[in-house]
Amino acid sequence: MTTPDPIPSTQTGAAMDRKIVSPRTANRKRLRLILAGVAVLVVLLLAWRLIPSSGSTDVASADIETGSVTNAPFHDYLPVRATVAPAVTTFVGVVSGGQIDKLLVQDGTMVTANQPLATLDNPTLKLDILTRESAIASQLGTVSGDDLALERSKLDRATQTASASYDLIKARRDLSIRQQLHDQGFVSDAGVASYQEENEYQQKRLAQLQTGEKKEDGIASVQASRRGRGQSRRADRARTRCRAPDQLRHPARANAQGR
Amino acid sequence: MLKAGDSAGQVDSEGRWKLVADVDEYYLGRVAVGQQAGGDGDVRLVVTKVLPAVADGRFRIELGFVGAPPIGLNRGQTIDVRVTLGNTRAALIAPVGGWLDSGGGSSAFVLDADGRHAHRRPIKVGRRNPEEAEILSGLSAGDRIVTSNTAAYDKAGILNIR
Repeated sequence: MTTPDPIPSTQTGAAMDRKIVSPRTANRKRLRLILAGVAVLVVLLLAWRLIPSSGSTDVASADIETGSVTNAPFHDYLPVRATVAPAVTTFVGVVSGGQIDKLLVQDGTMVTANQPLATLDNPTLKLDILTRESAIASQLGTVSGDDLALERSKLDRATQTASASYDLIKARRDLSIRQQLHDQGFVSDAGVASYQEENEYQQKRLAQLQTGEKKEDGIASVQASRRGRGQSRRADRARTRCRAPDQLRHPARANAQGR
Repeated sequence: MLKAGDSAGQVDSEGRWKLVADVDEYYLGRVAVGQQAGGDGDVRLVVTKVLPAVADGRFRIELGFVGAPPIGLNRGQTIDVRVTLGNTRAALIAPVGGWLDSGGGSSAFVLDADGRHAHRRPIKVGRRNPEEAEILSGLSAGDRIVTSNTAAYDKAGILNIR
């Protein structure tokens, strides 16, 4: 609707050409009109290009990227950058504290189960153990006192047993004399009976002493065995050791932390 | 001075490895234990753990080797891994780019046949991977679309390409 405009203007220019005689001015006018027409055309063309419809934006083709839509198999995957980490990490804990005395294994060394990793030194623990040891020694002194008493009572009992068995022999002999006299009719029944009782009493006394001896021997042996065990268990553990944990059944690599 | 209960060090299993990876939270619902994965040089992996706690927009997964891990791995080394989330199937596919970020992939500029203009068209985007996006509706095979970021032409319905 806008494009027809320039055409009538050139036509009117041609009509005017005919009336003006001077060819120089006519040529100039014609040229001017043609130029104006071309300019108007260009402007209109530009306008048409610039305003094709509302809400559009100009973009330089260099500023955008294009791609085409295709039918293709879609791979449903997720790319990630993964970091290698050991499957099992075991932290070595300290059961009893202390200063590191010696590092037996350096970082990155392969270790096996139960292998010592470091030696810790703990003066407090050492002192503690010395105190306990002296306590044990004093207890051992008490025990040897007990031993002495035990030995003494054993001796006493042996003496008692010996005297009891001698008394029994004496009573038996007296009884047999009285029995013979009774059989020959010199002594009455009552005279024999008191010796019989004496004999029985001495027998019982000896038997009692013997069973008592057995019991005391048993108790003494139990005490002796206990004492032996206590003495062999001498604590010498002031130096503790950090070890690779037991549960390691595979090659493992040590890694000391921050020290 | 080490106190009782302190940690003195750590012992790692040498030769037995796992892989740890941080994944964008966009995939939180899609990664599951047991999914297969592959790495460089025919390494076969399987997702063994998904730790759903999100930190800085990412969550962590752990992968285990199927069979023996490759020899010569070292702690801290990185490996490129592709976790297979679903089956490969035929679909309408568009290249990914900045255009998916502007407007959440709800529309695309489709080029005319002569390439001078591009018209905005509403579309629907399905699954994505780093190279391609599945187009559910709005486009057809053979269409050319603007794949660079179109956030600057937010209001425009038509682009005049010069």
